[in-house]
Amino acid sequence: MTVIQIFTTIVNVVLLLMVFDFLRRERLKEKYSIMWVSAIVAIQLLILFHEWLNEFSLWVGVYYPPSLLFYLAFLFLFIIVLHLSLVVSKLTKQNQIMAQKLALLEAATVTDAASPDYPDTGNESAAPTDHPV
Amino acid sequence: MSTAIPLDKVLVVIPAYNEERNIGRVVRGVRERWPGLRLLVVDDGSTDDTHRIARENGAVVARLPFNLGIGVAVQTGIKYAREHDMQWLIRLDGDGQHNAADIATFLEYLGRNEADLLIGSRFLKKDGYRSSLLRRVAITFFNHLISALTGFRITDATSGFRLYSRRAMDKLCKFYPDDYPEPETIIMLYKWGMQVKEVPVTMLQRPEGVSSITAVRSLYYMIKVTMAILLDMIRY
Repeated sequence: MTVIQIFTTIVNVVLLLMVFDFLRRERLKEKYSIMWVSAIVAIQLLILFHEWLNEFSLWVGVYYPPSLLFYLAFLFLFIIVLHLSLVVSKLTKQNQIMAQKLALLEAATVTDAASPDYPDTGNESAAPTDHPV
Repeated sequence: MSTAIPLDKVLVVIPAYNEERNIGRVVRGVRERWPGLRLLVVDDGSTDDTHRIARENGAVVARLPFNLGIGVAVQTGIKYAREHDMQWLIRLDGDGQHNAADIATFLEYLGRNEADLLIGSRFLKKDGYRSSLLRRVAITFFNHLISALTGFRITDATSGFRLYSRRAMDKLCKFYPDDYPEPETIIMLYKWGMQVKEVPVTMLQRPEGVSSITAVRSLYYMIKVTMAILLDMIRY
């Protein structure tokens, strides 16, 4: 093994241990760990058998193998970031709905003592969140 | 005005964000003139005393725990209206731009069931505050875009002074744009096969503070909303 292979392998092992530690402490969801472990394994394979990259590059018609590597790495990160944008969008929506529920609950429970002449239309019994206290 | 209008089925929704200087006057203005209408202030995560002042002046307050934008605030009002079996919702700004007296114009329309969205347009009569030049450019642009796409005759697409029917609310409680929602909701209602009409209102200049739409944001606003409108045409 060359020096760079030894160095990058050590980095990979550290990354792998980090992922396992996050998993153990439940800071990372299992479904995301699969993706990161796969990426680490793929990098390790390329470290050990870098001639695969050369052969594969030539086979698909890329004559400078590192550019194929950069392309694949960029593609991988792009897909991850896109996926995380989807997750954030979904969390935003859920957060909005939850905040609205809280506001409506507060409107129903925090008494309108300061507004005694608020019209009571008498048809509020159907709404379960209305005046529960 | 017809006496057949069931005023207790009309909810006035006032979204407000850090409007402690104006909200008391706005709430009193509506309550004094229209004591029969139900009134909800949606406090959009204000950091000032908006909610306390609104409550002291007799409004029911739904308080969002943090600032989520005008769309989420108005939709909170729509959800409240449905929970309380309201048939109409009148949306009024919390900054004093909208005149409580104009609510009469909306109420006159109620019995006729002609529209699911009534927009209070400041351009149908020749008085009141006409907005800044920059905003008027944006308003004119959206009026033309929306009129071309829908065939409605719209003169004040960005006006937030509006009345929604229950039918519109049943849809809007599920789908409502987050920010700058006014032009988009016209398109959405059009796609749902509903009617949109305008009535004349008089807008006032904000008594206190500055509008949340600055010159810098205007361009972003026009691009974002145009994109959203075109998406809505294929989405709903």
